[in-house]
Amino acid sequence: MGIIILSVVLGVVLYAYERSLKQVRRLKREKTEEEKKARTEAIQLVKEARQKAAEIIGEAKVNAEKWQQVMDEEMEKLTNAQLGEYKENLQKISNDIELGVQSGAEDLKKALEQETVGVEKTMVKKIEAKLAETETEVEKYKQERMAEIDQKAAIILEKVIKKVFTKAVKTSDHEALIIQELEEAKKEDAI
Amino acid sequence: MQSDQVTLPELMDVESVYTCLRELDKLKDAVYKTEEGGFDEVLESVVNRDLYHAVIEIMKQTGGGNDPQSREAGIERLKAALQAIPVVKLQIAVPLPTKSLKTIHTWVKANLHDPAVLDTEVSPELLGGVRISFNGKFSDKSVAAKWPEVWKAVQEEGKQPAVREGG
Repeated sequence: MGIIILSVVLGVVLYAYERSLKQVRRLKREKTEEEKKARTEAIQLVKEARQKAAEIIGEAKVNAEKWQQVMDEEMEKLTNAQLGEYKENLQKISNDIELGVQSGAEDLKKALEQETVGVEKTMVKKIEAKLAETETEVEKYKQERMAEIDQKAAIILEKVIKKVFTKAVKTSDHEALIIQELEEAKKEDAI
Repeated sequence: MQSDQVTLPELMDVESVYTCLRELDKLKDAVYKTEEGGFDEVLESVVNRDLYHAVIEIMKQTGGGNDPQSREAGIERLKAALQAIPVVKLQIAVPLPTKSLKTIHTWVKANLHDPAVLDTEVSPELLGGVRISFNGKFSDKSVAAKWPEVWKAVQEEGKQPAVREGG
């Protein structure tokens, strides 16, 4: 009995094993197939993706060129507009500056003229004063020199006269002068 | 007072007085000599004419003057009288001839003192006139002393504007 049971159990086990084994094989086969299918699909997907990508890229290139052109055009428009505005502003500023400068220049010119006239007058006054001072100094110097020359001339003349005087006077005149002076001294009670 | 009584030679200047004194010294040296170079010889040969008369005159006053003592005394009196003659010192600008000096001497004797002798000194810086020293007094009557005011007057005159001749 036991053997029977055992054999039954064994048989059951073997069956179960067989069945499991078949199942495993089927599963493996299914897995392989599934993997194959998946790979094929993946490859297909990649291909499609690549193609799509290429298309996209191509389209993108076209778009990019187009957009570039548009952008360029827009930029040009914008730039032209801004440049115009900028030019206009610049012109305006320039005009303002010019007006300002002109006005300032006029003022400056007037101020400069006034200043120049003032300076000119001051200079003329100073020059006149200096001239007068110089003339005074020259006159003073002239007077001093003249006085000096007169003095020197007088000294020389005096020396000459002194030298000549004694010799020029006659002996008889010397004698007479001495007698005259003696009389005067006596009169003054000086001798 | 003795000197006043002494007859003095006519002397004009101090040099003459010194000459007389030197001659009197020689005469005095000869007073005691009897032989060669005696008193009489020296009196005749050495002493000048004016002094000679003065010596004779003084010898008469001193007892004839025949003895050496009286001669010596007479000489001494004469010397003293000569030394006592007042000297009028004159500074003058130029040397003057004797004639002029005699004129001045005559004036001095007539107006200051008689007798008197002149002691003249020539100082050209005086220019003219005279500086007188007499009897302790001094007076500068030279042209040099008056020159500053004279010269000033000349200069002042020179500053006056010239007057045109015939104008």
